[in-house]
Amino acid sequence: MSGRCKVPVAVVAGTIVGVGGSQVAFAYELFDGCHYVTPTLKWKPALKSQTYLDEAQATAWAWTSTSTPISLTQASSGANVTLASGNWGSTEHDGYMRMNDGGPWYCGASGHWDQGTIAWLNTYYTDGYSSTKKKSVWVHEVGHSLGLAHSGEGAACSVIPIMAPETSDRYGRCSKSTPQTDDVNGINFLY
Amino acid sequence: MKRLILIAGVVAVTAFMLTWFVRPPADDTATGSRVSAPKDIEALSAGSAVVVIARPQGEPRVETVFNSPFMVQEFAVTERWKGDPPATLAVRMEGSPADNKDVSPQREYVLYLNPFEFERGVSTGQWWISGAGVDGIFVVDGDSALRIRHDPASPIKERQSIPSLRAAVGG
Repeated sequence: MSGRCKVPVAVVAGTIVGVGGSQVAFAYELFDGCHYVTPTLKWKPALKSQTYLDEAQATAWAWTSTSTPISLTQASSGANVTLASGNWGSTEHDGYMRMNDGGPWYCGASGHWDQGTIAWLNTYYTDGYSSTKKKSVWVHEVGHSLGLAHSGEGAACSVIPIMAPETSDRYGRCSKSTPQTDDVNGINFLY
Repeated sequence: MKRLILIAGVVAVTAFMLTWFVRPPADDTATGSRVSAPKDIEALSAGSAVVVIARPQGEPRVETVFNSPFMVQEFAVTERWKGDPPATLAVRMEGSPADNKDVSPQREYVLYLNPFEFERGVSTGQWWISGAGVDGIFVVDGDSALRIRHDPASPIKERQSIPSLRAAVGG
């Protein structure tokens, strides 16, 4: 993929070497370490209907209230992250993260996003979801915006991250709708 | 002291190497949340309305949704394994033609498809590749087929024999 940065240092830091050389591997995955320059971020809603606003605000708070430097404050302009809802059709995806220009993720030369991101809910599916299930998808997509890739598919519910790729797994099986320990570790590595 | 530094160096290099080789690369294409995913080829088959072998024909066109491109490519059906689809199918794929260069009119593909729709029960006339646009497209390579979309999270084997794919459909 042209134009995407490769920052292997992010991969190195996925492992801690403990006393005696034992290895404790983190499960979180990164987009080659690409992320926002700052953890102090603004978000704005772009919603199909105001019925999604509560879930958008709950999503921003879910990340802000973690033990990380992330702060997401609602703003009407200058937003880094847009929480959007719209109908993408029957793509079997209930959420997407896109850059502001509509493309998939790519890094600026500095190793940071060079534009804002959009965390989408696909209302073809999410119109039929409960409030908490919508939040599970949105918190996952904002995790992508912050720099986390998919991880933890099929993991035990005690450790499954919000970045597990399937809603049926992350939420259907494990009822997760907030960032988990592994997600927090990933964010604290990045920021 | 020198020995300690040497040991620390070896440990650090070993950790780097282990991580580098053991840790898979980040999934750099899928930033979506999948509703669910088929666990094996039988589930992929069961979850598809249509399974065919088909060949791309004509030039693809692009439709955008919220500024994101989707390629629509016509395929001429050469074998029907499941369902009774028409002779040509308009298949919708994520990305632009530049993102889908691995779809060539020179090759045949095993396609697992469902009708694509924006409104439940209202067909658009297009088809979507089962397994979130990723799992259900294989390029025919002799008597085997190779999955052309690479999602590290997918449990569907990348290379499978044509007879085993066909058997999984029940054909």
